[in-house]
Amino acid sequence: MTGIILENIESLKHYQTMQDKNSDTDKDILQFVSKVIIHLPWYFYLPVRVIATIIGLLCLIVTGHKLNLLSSEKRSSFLKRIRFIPFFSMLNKLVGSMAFLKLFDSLPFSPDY
Amino acid sequence: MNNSVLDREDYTKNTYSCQYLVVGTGAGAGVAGTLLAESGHDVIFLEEGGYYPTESYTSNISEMITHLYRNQGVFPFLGKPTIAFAEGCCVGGSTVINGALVCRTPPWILDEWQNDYGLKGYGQKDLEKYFGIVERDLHIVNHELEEKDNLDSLKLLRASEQLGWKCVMAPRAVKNCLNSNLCPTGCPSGAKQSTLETYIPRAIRNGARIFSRCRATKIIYSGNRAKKIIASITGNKSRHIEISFDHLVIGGGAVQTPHLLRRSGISKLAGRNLQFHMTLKVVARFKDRLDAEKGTIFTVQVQEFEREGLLIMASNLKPHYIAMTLSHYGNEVINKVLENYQSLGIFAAMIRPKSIAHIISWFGDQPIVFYRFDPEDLSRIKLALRRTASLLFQGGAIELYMPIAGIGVVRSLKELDRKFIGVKPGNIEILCLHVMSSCPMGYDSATSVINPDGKLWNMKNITLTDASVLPSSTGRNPQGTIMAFAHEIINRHIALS
Repeated sequence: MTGIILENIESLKHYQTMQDKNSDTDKDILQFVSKVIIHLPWYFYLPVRVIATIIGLLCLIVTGHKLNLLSSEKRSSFLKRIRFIPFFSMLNKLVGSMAFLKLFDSLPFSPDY
Repeated sequence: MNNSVLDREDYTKNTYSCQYLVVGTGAGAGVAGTLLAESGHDVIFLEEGGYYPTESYTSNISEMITHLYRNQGVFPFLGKPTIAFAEGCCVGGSTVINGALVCRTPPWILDEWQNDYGLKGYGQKDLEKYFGIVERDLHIVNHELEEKDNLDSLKLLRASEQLGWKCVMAPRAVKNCLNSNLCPTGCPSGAKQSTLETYIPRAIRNGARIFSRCRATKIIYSGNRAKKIIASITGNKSRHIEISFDHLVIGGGAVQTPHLLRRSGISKLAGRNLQFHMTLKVVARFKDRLDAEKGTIFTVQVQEFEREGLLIMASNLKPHYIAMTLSHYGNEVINKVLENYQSLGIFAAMIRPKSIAHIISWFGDQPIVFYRFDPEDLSRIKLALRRTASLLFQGGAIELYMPIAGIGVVRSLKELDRKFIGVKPGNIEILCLHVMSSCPMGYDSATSVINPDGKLWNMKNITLTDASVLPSSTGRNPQGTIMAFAHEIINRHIALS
C-alpha cells in the first residue's frame, strides 16, 4: 500500500515542498489511509486487500523488490504496466483520494499556492 | 448536556428500557424524538456515531471526516460506475455534515406524490405549517451575498442573469455564518443549525437520553409488536445491550433503516426502491481571482432546469477537495490547477436520476447497496454538465475540469460536445449525498412499507420518520421535507395515542 500511496503523491509539488519541512508526512499519510481501509465495509475491504496483495506479489516476482522500496521511476513504470488489472483503478482512486485528504491537512505552514 | 449523552464506557447495565426508543439523531429522528420528549414521554435516542460537540470541531478535514462520517466517508454504491456515497454518522447525523440547505419540497413533487402515489395529508397546504415551524426552529435565512466573499456563487448569479436563467438565493439553516467554508466537516463556529444545535438540546432539556456509539443491530418482536432492540457498542463488537420500549421510532436514514428492518425479518419490501440524487462536480478556473475559500457553499441555486431534475450550485473549495475531485486527471494537472488556486471554484450539478438502487442485507453487519445505471441517465448527465459548462463559460471560466475520466481540459462548449462523444457511464465520477424512498409511504401494503401514519403495515408499534418514507426523490436537498414529514407523522401518532 505504501508504494501506491507514494505513487499518488510523490509527483505533487505540494508533497515535495512538505518533504523538505516535515519527515513524518509519509508516516501520517500511511497511517491515515490504512485506518480508512481497515474501516471499509467488508465487501469493499476484501477486494481492496486482495488486489493490494496481488500487486505486491507481482512486484516481488517481476522486479525482485517490494513496491515501496523501488525507485520512483521503476515504481511508476511497474504500476503503469499493471494498470489494466481489474479493480486496480478503484484501489488507486481510493488510496489517492485519502492520501490527498491527509496530505493537505498535514500542511505545517500557511498555504501559498 | 453531557450527562444525558452516554458513550462507550457508560453502558454499565446490559438492559435498559424507555417509552420511546428513537433510532438515529438526524433530520427525521431528531425532530421525532424532540416532539415526543416535549410531549412528556421518556425518550432514548440510539446513535451509532459518537457525540462531538461543536467546540471539538477543527479545520482538520481528514480528522473530522474520521469522526463524523460513516466508514470515514467511504461507502460505495456498487454498479457501473461505482458511486461514492457519503453520510453522517455522529450525534446530529447528516445534518452536521451537509451544506445547511433546507428547502421546502417542490410543489410539483408533492402533487406527484398525491396524484401518482395517492398520498393524502402531505400536500402543500398540509405541510405548510410544518415548513414554517422547521424554518423557525432552524433559523432559515436566504444567505446574503457580499461582493468580497462567495464570489463563486456571485459568478453563478451574474451568469444566470445574463442567460436569463432562474437563480435564487438558497434558504440555509445558519445563524451568524462566519464563512468558514467547512460545512461538510462540521461547522466550527456553530452557525449551522444542525439537529445537534437545535432539536437535540431541546430533547435533552425535556429529559431525553442519548446512547451514542450504540448501533441497533436487531429488533426483537412477537406477533405484530416490537419488544426490544439489540444494540452493539461501536468499537466493541462483543458488547451488546438490550433496550425494551413501548414504541420504536426509526430514523436511521434511507440505507440503515431498511437494513435494520430486513435483518430483523420484519420487511422484505424495505430497501428495494432506494432513490438518490447524483452530484457531479466541475472544477472551473476563471480569469480573475475568486478566493472561493473565503465564503460558504450553496448560497445561490440555479433552478432554471429544476423541473427536469437539475440544480446547479457552487460547492466549497479547499485544496483537498480540488485534489480529490481531479484525482482522475493525474498529478500533473492537479499541480497546474493548484498553481491558480485563487482563481478556482468547484461547482456541483445535482440531478434527479432514473437509476434506482436496492439494499442487500444478507451478509454481515453492513448493508450492500447495488444500483443499475439507467441508460437514460447518461444523456441526463451530459445535459447537466453541458448546462453547467455554458453557465460557467458565461461567468468567465476559461478552463473546466469535468467529472469524466479521459476527456482532459475543456475550454469551450464546442470542445465539450466533441469530447462527449464516446463517453460511457464507467467514465463518469458520481457522488451521492441524498438517499430516499427505501421504505416508501403509501396506501397499499403490497407496494409500500409504511402506511400514511408512518407506521409499518405489519407492526403496531414501529414508526419510521426519515428520508426512507418519502415516496420518491425530491429533486432538492431533502432535509426540509424529512423534517416536515417527521412533524406530521409524530403529531398524528401523538393525536392517535
